[in-house]
Amino acid sequence: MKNKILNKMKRKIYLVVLTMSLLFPYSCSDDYLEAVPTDAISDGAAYANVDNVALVLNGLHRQMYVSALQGGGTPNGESYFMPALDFIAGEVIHTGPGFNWMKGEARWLSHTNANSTISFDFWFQRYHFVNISSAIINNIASSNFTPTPKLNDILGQAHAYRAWAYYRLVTTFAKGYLIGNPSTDPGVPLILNQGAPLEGAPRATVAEVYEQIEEDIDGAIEYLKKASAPENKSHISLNTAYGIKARIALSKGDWSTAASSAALARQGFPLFNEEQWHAGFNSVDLPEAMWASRIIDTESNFFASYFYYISFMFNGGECRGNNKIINIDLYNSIPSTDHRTKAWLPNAPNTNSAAYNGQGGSAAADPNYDDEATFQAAKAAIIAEFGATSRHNTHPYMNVKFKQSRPGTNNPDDVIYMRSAEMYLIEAEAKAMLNDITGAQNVLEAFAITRDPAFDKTAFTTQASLMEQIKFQRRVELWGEGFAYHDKIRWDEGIDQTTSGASLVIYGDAFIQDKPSTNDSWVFKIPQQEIDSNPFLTESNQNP
Amino acid sequence: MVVKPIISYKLEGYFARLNYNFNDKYYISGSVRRDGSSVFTNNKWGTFYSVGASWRIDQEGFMDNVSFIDNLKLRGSYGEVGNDNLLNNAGTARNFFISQGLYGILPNAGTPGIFWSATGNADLRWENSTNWDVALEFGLFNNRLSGSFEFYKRISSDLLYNVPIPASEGQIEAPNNIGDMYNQGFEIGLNARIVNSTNFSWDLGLQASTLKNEITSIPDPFVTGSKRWDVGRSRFDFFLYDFAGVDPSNGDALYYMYEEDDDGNVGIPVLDENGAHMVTNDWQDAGKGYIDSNTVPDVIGSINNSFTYKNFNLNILLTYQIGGQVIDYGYADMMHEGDYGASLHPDIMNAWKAPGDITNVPRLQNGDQNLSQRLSSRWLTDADFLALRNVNLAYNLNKRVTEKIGVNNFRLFVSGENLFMWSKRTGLDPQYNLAGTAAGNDYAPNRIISFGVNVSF
Repeated sequence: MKNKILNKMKRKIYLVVLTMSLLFPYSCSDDYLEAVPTDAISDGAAYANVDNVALVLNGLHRQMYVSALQGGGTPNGESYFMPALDFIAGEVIHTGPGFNWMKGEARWLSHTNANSTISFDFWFQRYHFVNISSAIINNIASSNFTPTPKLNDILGQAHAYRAWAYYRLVTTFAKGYLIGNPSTDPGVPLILNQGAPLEGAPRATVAEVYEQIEEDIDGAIEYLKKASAPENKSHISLNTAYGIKARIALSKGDWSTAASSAALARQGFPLFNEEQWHAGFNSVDLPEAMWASRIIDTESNFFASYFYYISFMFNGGECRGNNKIINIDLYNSIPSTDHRTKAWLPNAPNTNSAAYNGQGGSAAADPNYDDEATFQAAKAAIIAEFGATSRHNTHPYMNVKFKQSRPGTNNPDDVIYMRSAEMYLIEAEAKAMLNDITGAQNVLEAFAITRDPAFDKTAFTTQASLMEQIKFQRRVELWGEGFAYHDKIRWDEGIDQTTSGASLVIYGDAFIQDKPSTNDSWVFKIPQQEIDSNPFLTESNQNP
Repeated sequence: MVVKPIISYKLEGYFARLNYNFNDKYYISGSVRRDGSSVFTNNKWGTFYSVGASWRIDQEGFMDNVSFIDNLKLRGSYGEVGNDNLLNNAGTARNFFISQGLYGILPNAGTPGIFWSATGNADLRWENSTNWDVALEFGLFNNRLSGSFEFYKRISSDLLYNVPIPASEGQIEAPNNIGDMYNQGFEIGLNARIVNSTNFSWDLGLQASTLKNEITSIPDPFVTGSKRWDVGRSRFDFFLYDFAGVDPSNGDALYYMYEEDDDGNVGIPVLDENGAHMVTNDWQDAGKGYIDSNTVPDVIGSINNSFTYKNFNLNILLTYQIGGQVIDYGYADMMHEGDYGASLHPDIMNAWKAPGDITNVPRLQNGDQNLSQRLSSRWLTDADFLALRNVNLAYNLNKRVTEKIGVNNFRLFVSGENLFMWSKRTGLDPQYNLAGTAAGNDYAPNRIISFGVNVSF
């Protein structure tokens, strides 16, 4: 019987094999199993022709102010990083809880923490720029595209973005060039190829990273000299590339390069007159704006936008309950003839009952006011003049530098990344550092006279007095635009908020910080995500 | 406006199966299938086999004299299943294009633009799940006692996973066939009618199962959340900052120190000259370690009791777990270092207050992040629980009565779901997920009490 079973089984197995052998040769056509998404294109197609590569570059322009990346978190590009860097440096001061956005940054709880979102996002988003720039550069190098002004424009911008992104990284995640030992200080991983093997790289030295940055920005300038004109101000123009070069040189103390590049950069971008200065820093069309993103309503990042974090009248809880003020000492050192005094309101009533200084909510609490009627009238006048809502609070020394084009809404406004005033200030600082007193005086005067008609350059006749004046001008002029953190590292200046208007209870550790050369806490922690997943890095490679 | 992408997914398969049954005693089945999937690029095709057999021992002649056995069956199977399903990075939906590097749409002020949205991996191939199982099923004493006893082993080869990659690569995850792992365990089920009289009966059902998970091959171990995947370990092994208690002199939180050696071995304890494990009050200096804890229970199961007395019926379902731990983020978030205006857990009353205090809750100091690190062994909580999942009491009216009032059937009931949960910490649902990462700020299963009447005409 056993045999019978086995025979029967064998026969059936033969049948199965036969059936299968009949079936397999007749599969569907080869491309049946090809499927592509409708909301994305393949990486091959993205670099297949010059027009498509231009689309990739345009994606980077957009990501200057918004985060599109998976896991990119709330920090939305420069919209977040610019105010955050001024909060960390203590130059833009929080006065109330609001929605507690970036309170951790202001209190030095974020960049000092390897698991913080700002360490991670700053690192991630800038490295995304590095990798995409490399992809553009390398894919074009291996293509047979005909060199044209348009191709030069793309290549120039890709090199400029890589230079800029590495400049942002190395000045933030490593010890400052001027206060450290660049040839031995660990910088950031140098990765110049996008894609596999996706395993990161060890930290190159600060000097090595700077070499790459300089090679890239010089390459960018060469390409952009032979390039078609930029389509709009979100594209990196030759001027902007010179501006980036000036920033890089300034950060490493290459004063002559900084001065000459800044002078070239600002050509064609005249300084604001008084009216333009007070227009609100909200439009790419402003004449000083060299590099800026136009943000249209359908591409708004709403409550993750620059004006949400920095302006007074944006209609969000963070703005209504947390006026951002200028350091009181700094404000009081602005001459009364300087029209920029109007950008902050030293006598605004303190209407915020949760104000950190404990002087808010009513005329009884606010030492500047004696009766409630005057107090309320003062608030109403500010609301009416600047167009906030009645739910917005006001606070002494509050800023109205940043004005929405449609005040009291949550509509987006343009974001400016570089303007010609900064270039004047770079040139003046570089010349002062070169001890070119006359040169520095002249550049400084050309700039400062447009802000303060009473400005007198002859009051600054030494390098020290010039530098003191230039530092003052930068702090006032560029307030809220994201320069203070790196300025303090370059100048090796600490933080002391004793008479600034900041609250000791809230600011805690951030209230007083030693200067960067002796205080490692200034350097951002490398994100734990990188330490965990980069085989070339261990905890011992973390910043101290 | 969110435009939902149109999903395009194509599968092509060929399949052959053989079933054989001899005398209702021996059953054999086998199959082979070859599947092609549009998910993959270079390796679209996979071949998968399965074979199963069972033996109905009760049908054998030698069992004729064993009268108390009603059913006895031994079965075993081996099966392979291909898997081409990987979730997107956010874990919210399936990604049908995992093998393709993609650029998504991202316009800039109305002018078209694209951005690198996914790394892709053209060399991805099918994940192969191999299932082994052997089971004995039985029914005894007129099926008053029945049940099964089963051993299973599920081997996943070429596991598909979105692997964390360094953010310096411009993306943070990439899909890969990362390695092999297995899950194995026993499953026991018993059903017994303990009392069976005219007016009263009592049925008891017991379920218990075990799970062991081990990674057998992984070329590039990686950290993912509170875990780290490595060979010889479970994917559920915690890899955390190791809380070492509170310094009685100043209330600092202390963490045991771990380091990584040059060969890439991680979690090596840092010892002082006396051989004691060193501690630090700064978690960023401490490093993470495997702390000999994971989420996997020793045993998990349910107990079901059903009582019938005349027209009353009472049903009680309990579920339980013994062993395993969860990292209780909800508790961690309420045991913070003292953020102004944020809620606190009553345990914060035990915080260190003065030199000499012996406690396991550090001092409160707003802004000191070393005092309450979230990814820390401090929040590990035993996941043992006993839950009263369901109780149902019903009364059926007698046929005599129902006929009088003109209905076929009349039933009154009251039932309750999720009535009680006994767990280590009030409010914690240890069953939140298998990864043991209870968020703490979302809803536990609802408690539902319902009353009802069922009438049929």
